[in-house]
Amino acid sequence: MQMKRQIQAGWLAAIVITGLFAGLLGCSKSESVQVSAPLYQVGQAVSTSTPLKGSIKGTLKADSTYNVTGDVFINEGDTLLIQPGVKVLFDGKGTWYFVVKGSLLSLGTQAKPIFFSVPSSVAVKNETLGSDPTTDPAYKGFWGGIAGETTFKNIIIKWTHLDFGGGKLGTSPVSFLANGANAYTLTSKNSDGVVVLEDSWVYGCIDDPCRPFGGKYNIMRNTFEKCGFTGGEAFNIKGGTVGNFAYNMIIGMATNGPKASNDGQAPNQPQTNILMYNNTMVANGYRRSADGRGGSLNFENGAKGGFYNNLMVDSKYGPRIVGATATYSGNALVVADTANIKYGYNYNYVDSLKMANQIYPVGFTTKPQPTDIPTPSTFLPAGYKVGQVYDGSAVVGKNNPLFVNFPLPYVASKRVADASFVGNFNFRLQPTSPALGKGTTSFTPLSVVPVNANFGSTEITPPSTDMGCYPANGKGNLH
Amino acid sequence: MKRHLLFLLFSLLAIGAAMAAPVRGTITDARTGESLVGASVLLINTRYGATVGLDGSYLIKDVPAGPYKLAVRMIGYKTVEQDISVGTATVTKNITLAESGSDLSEVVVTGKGERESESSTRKTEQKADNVLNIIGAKAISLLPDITVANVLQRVSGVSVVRNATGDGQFAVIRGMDRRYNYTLVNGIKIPSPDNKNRYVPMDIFPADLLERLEVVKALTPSMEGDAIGGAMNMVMRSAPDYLVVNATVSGGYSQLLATRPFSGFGASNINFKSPSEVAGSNLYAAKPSDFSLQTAQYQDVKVPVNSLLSLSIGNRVLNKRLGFLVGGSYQHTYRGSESSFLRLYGQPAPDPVPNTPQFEFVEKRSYSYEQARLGLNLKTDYVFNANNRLSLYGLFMQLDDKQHRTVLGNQTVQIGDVTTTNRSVFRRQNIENVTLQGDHTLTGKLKLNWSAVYSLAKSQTPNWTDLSVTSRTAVGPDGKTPQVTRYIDNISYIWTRNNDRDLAGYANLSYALQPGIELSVGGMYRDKNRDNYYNDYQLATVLPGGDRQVFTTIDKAIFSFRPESYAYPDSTNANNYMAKEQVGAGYVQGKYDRGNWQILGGVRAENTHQSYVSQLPVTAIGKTGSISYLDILPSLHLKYRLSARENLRLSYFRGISRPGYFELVPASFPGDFYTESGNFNLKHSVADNIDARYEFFPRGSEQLLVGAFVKNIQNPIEYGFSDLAQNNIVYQPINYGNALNYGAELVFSRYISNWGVSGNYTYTHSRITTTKRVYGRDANGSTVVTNEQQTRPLQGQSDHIANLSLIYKKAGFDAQLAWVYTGKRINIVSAYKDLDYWQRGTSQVDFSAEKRFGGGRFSVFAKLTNLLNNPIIVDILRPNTLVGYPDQNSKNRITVQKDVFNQTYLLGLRYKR
Repeated sequence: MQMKRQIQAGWLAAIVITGLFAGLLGCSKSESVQVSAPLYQVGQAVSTSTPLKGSIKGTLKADSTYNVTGDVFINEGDTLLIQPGVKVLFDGKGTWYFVVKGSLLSLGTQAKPIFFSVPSSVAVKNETLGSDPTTDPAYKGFWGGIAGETTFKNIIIKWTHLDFGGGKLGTSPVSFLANGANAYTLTSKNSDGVVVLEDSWVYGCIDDPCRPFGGKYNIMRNTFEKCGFTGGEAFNIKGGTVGNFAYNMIIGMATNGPKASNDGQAPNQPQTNILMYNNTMVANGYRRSADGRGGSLNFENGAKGGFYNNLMVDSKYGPRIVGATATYSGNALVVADTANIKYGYNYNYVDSLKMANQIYPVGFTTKPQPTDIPTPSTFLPAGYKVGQVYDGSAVVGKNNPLFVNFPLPYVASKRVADASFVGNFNFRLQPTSPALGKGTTSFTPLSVVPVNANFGSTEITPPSTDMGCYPANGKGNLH
Repeated sequence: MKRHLLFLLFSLLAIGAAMAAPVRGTITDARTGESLVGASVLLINTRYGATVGLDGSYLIKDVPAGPYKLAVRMIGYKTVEQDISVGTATVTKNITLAESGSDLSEVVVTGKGERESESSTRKTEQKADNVLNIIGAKAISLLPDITVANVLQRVSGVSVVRNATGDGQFAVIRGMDRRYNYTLVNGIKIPSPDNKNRYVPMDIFPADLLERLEVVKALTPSMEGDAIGGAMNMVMRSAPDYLVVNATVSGGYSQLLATRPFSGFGASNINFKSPSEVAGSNLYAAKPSDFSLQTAQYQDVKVPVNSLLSLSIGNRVLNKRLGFLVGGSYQHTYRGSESSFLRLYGQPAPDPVPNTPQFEFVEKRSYSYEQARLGLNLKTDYVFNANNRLSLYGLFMQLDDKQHRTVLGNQTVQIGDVTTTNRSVFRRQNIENVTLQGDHTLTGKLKLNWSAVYSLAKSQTPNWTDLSVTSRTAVGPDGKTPQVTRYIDNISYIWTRNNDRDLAGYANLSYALQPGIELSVGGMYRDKNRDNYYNDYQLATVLPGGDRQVFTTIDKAIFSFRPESYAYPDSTNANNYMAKEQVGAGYVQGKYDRGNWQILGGVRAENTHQSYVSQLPVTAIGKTGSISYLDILPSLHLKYRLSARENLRLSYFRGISRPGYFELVPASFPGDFYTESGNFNLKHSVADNIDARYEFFPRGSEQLLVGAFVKNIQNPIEYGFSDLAQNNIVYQPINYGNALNYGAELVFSRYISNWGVSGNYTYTHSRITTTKRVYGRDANGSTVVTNEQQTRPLQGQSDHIANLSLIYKKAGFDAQLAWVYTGKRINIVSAYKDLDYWQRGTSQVDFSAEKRFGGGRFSVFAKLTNLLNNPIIVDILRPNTLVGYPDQNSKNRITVQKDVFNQTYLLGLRYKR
């Protein structure tokens, strides 16, 4: 008996030791190596003493300030590299563009972001809630933007502030924008060119801050604030454009966040194909003066793609897919490539009946998905047909996503439209948020741009089941 | 005021004579004995005269007793003068005329009074060296038309392109688009007030200033070479040998304006200069108070009565050395049209079949056009002696166009926004020309003719205003009753204008080698200077706080520049450009005219130098450019007289067509679906043309012409897609290989007792192949766009064009019922395959009549147009699956536009001596 116990104790000890050993083995750590990354440099350093204007290539040196006094051209075959901490300040005396015919690499870091902006003597951000948009400098445009001409290879923008761009052009320096037209802060016309906009901030614009007429895009983990004066989308996609739009925080757009269309697809251009996922969109669509123009995301005119895991709060309209070419509230809308648009797992929170009645916009073909939140069956009438009028009063103020710091129901000094910038708000989700874990990872992001530290995307962040751009794992939007 | 003057004039001239007798007789061809219908018989230095009628006789009534010198004149014949004495008995004088043989070389620039008559124009056609068609002033006055553009459609092989109210504007000659034709005044080419093109809008010219209108279809070496379809020559009334007074006054009405009011606007406060020009700086930030709201204040015109006045006076004074003719015409008209549009989206759909047309909505458009057309014409000549003559010609044309267009947005919307857009455009177009000409007989055989020309064409469109008001219908608080709120949208203003100035010199030297053989050489040089100005502003109506502005009245609206950058002028707009052109030309031409043969041939050389300065950035290719080329243009015209009344003609000529000034400028105009751009690689078109024609002139104004033509056009200019650079495919004018255009013409007129019938028919066939887009799907189901070739007729070419007139003439009374038919043709060439806009075959029936009284000096006339209210309908020739849209009545075509104009009436009084 005693013997038996000893044997048993021996076994036990062996198991415990083995367990401990295994545990320790598991707890062991290989070398943690922390070395500085090489400071990437291209060609010659560009002097800070001469204002930027005309053809430029080489490197804008880290932490330097450069003044721009005219259109800047990066010629075919040339590369302009911008090192971390650079400030590129436009003089505000013309709607100057960075015209990229070769490659532009704006490689900021989290610690040392790059700024494309204007001196404080030209404009300062107005971070007052409910400020008058007719006087807010965000909607005036003090420089042009970054434009990929028909020959450009790369536009890589990481950890960069693009503030106060998108003004009214004088003589257009690019072939695809008219003289006197509104500029777009980021635009391109080459379906073979690569555009990466990651971990960056886009603040203010008269019209669309981002309008591609063709290109391979990865727009991830950015923050868009206060774009479009009386009209404008965060990402207004035209024919020949493919890529991802994910983990973006979008607040205060005049109209939509992303809007995909295949307008003007040209020979040798692919069909517009955009995957929009894990974006957080708050209070969009309220500066668009005309009725019926959207307020979250849109698919129209021949575009295909998909949208999942988006968290929409107080949007004027839910996601809209144009199902038939017709007039909607006086606007002509052209049918999207409806057979090739996949979607589900989208989250809508609304503060008014008007918004609730448009979670599935009336007259559109967006099909309620059982995976959506709020669950369609809880508020849509029995026998609901796509696009029909319904009473959404059951979901007003329901399913609060519980942001860390943003009051919901939104009771601002005036109205929903007043929330047009992030400021001190924090759109991360509280641990008890009903938006956590309700999404899907059952789709694969489009792989159209290379993953590369300098010439591609840092990371094509895969989808998360946590709705919106701030998943609990911290892998989403880092702002 | 004008009416008082006219009345005074009539009273003064109506004083009769006391003792008198008639003079009568016949006028015939000395060789053939043929009646010379249309010959003028006059008593020199008096106002007495007559025209030889259909039966070959003339009658001058009530000639006071006394001695006279009677002169008989006829184009193509030697003038005969005889002394006669009139007492109390009838004087009979039968006179024969001999052919002069050489008085009609090509298009003669000078003219005499009786070239206006119908039989004289037939004679001119018969005698002419080349293939042409003519309408004389007499015929024009009997036509229902009041502008030259509308007269043109009566000419064989000519169809017109109409403006929004159905009025003719541009001529398509033998299926060749307006770009392939040019316009002459008295044989001198005039510039165009069009903002981008060379062709001249023909509705600027009032018809009643013309002596005759010629459409020249085969060019001789002495004519400028840049016409492939043909040249329109407006020969203005010229100085007569005796006192001539013509006056008309008439009033009219448009039936359409009985169904709805004419909605006009004032233009008196309009500033022709934009705010930045007034301030003198492109850095000037405009203020809302700088803009006139007058053009947005629409007012109904209570009695929109059309009024037309014309007066011309001519005489020869200072011992018959100085001849002059002053003509003036003023036309003030109100027109309207109603149009329904099925609006097509700019890009078709890939499903269910590629390039499926997509419709946005149905729009109703309502047009109110007020036009004031002023034409002044002065011709003087001074005869130093039999060998030297100097003429001075001046022309001033002004067309003020006030166009108000209301577009009612989709009427089917029940809830949501519906926008009503008002556009008011005031446009003043001018053509001015001063020509000094000399005709000198240096020796008996050597003649010199020269011209020095200054011309200016300009167009000004100040304060073009676009205003839209959006009506928003929302469900009311009770969930049922709709609530309507009207909001004012942004208002925009455009100032645009262009000037086209020509300085030109012409010299022609001709030498009569032997009787019937003539050699001539000549040359011309033209310096052209052109500039275009464009500026626009957009004023916002957004209120502080970003709210939409409720619309009450336009004067209560609050405008602002938001963002502030919009207050600055759009001075960089690509529509601003300057162009210059120098053309130098020389020719050698020989003419042989003996027996039954007339041969005219020679060669012309034209050297062209064009240049431009554009608004492109310095970094773009082609900010400035210059282009030079030389053309050698041979031509040969054979005429064989089968008999005194029949000709056979065969002619060959080479002609060119230069690209429009702006078509070369690579300025780009990005659109939603493709970018439009000019093309500096564009070559001018060159065409070889062959014409054959049989002509038969039985008698008087009767005729039968049967002809055929073929044109081989190298580098015709059409719009299509081309790769400018990688991924930069633009829609631009491009040369597309060769195009072949052939056809046949028939012209006839026949009179039986008091009735006449005249008509013409032209068949034309042309083909061109251009690149177009196809939007469809690939094997994987993704949309894909390809460029494909499509063959089609040239834009504007109708296979069938016909005119038919029924004419009734009785002493002192003329009436005419005219039918014009323009066959199916392409109105708009789409950038996408199979989506061209086709205008359906259209008819129009017009009626006019004139009754003379008071010894033939006075007449009342009436002109009634569009009696059957024929609409213009435009279709896309694709299967029609639309349900519930208006005007869709066929499964095989989709009607996209229907314009209705209704009838117009005009009643007038004419005085003539």
